[in-house]
Amino acid sequence: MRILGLDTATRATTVAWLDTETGAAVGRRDDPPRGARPRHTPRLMGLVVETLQEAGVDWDGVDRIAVGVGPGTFTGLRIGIATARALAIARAIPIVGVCTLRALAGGAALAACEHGRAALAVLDARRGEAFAAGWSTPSHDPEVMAAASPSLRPAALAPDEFAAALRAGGGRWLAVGEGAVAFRTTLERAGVLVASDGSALHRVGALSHCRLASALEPEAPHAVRPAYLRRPDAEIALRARERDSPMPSTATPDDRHPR
Amino acid sequence: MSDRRLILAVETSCDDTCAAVLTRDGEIRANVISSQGIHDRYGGVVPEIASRHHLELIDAAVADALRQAETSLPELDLVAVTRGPGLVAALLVGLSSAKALAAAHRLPLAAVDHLHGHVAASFIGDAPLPPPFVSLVASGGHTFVARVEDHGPGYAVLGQTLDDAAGEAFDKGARLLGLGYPGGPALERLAADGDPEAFAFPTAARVRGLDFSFAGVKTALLYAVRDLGSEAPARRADLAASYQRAIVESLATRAARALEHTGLHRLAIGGGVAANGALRARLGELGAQLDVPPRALCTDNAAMIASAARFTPALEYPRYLDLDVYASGELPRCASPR
Amino acid sequence: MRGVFTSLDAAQTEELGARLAARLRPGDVVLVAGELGAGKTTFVRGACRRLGVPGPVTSPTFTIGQRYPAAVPVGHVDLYRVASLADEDPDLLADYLGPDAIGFVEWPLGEEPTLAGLGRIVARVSLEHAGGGRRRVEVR
Repeated sequence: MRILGLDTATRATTVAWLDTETGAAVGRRDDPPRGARPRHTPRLMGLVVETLQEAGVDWDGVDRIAVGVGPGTFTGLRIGIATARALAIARAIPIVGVCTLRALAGGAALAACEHGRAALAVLDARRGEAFAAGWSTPSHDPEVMAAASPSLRPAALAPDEFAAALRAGGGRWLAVGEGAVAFRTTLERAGVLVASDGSALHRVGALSHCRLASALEPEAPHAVRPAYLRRPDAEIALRARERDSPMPSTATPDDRHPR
Repeated sequence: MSDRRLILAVETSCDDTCAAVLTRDGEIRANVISSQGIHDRYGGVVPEIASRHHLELIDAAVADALRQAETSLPELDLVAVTRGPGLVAALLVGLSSAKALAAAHRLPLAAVDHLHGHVAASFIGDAPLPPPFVSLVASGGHTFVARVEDHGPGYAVLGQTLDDAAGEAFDKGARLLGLGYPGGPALERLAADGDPEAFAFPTAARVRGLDFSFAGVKTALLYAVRDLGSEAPARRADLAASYQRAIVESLATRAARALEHTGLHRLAIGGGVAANGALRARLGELGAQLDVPPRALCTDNAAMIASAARFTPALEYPRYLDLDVYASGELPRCASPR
Repeated sequence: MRGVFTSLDAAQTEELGARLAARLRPGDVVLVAGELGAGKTTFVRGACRRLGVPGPVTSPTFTIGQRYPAAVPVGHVDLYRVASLADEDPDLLADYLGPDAIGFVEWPLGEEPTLAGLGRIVARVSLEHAGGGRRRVEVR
């Protein structure tokens, strides 16, 4: 099976193509310099086209599209998923959403096994939080890794919650991901092994998505949705909107109209 | 000469998820508008919520438009999309989708300015208005008057708002009167029972030339409500009617000046505020030929984006792959009378 | 510039904005609070003029933010429509605020902790209606 994978959940834009039968693989990525904004929008489609060109295939050389559904930056997730869905619909190619944390952990499976540790995938959720998920028996075999249920379920965690969750998990972890670097102190204090800062294990790479996608069932395009893990809170959103109205609100549901 | 080649357009600049199919010669084959209908509860469009809904709705909107037009992607001649101005995260959903749809079939892509779209709404529909004409665009985010010499993409902005947009003035006025969001229709309904002469609200008479200003009338309404105190609720209809009249007068005065300044006799209106009945009636008194597109073409829609795309140079595949959106941009001004 | 001032009209509100702007540096953020019609955008307009922004300085309510080109770019953000920054993408304001720009934020509400991550909050301006068209302008 020939799979096109892409992920825009992190600051990186990553695209890959994998032929699972021959093992032929092509990867392309864009990592913005430190402090620069992500370049998902200007780079993603260009990287897709370059990847297919290097693989020497056209759209009929893609049997499946794999897209990272996060968690990650909200805007990044929407760019990747809107792109992947549109490609899938336009070319009638089956599509599958891949958890970005699972792909990250899967990429670190061999290293984790070498150290006899469980794999902990950590992304920077900003605002002092981390997106994290852990697998106690990570595997390089996509069939196994795609089906494995996480011992630490994907969640957005503040450092203290994070430390508590790691202790509750009880395992010896190898942590990977940009968030593992950002939260190194918290993690190491909890006994977690964090790969060295420059390690390639920290980078989300779409080739991992391609591997996992070969073992997953395709979904309807509309079923491929971002794993935001954070929800706009309706209660907060609705708070005191009358704050500047000197009169009581008489809003009715049919007060609807265009601007 | 008829040209039946088809354009698919996508528009996601604010809170409506829109897709449309238009022929090259301007016939509307489909104009799908998926109103998210959720922002009323929040008292306004919340960017993250709007963007999430766009992603939920975009593929179905495109599929509906193609189905209604009885066509399919490979049969299209061009894909068009709104690049800005608008909410960045919302625009990105439409742009990402449109780029991928176009690239999947190596179609050309036209990146359209949303405001050119509002102007171009007058080029389509049952009675297309040929340039030259004066275009008054008033919505929640934009208010300007322009001389439209040809189909574009250029047009000469003669005046624009110096502070709030007209639709924003309606929304914030409605808030002051305790009405819900969006404020325009609620305020218009309330105004129907009121006396527009009851309060003398300012019409930005001190702003000369063709620029608009709505900050003064907003403050005047606030003061009037405060001064009335406990009497205010009983006078709400009068307040609404007088407030609406001030906004309408402010818009109409500039439209009249623009007609005089340009020597043109045709006036087109666009944007959500064009749905306001009092504005339509007042502009009808100006003695110009007035073009009011149907409501579905006044408010945000993709047919107007396709219309503008007919007159926007398209980018051939793969030259559009690196396109990005823009939140705001300076309007293409030209000298206006002072 | 700290203290409580009285402004009699829009021109004076703009002048107060200009006075504050004279000392701002890249990365600085000014919070501008006040109810509807209190003159927040007017205050920011005065500041922008001093910072060399030539074009229209309008309410950014619709797009959440504007960025004006100038010697030091000026970001102008309006959180009126944003219910809570915690619900939004952390990058929502990154197009407007940052180390290279001078920022103004209308309707900052309780968002100061989040905003602090996007720049140095160097002043908090609060505008109030003070009767007869006057405004009380407090700069802290």
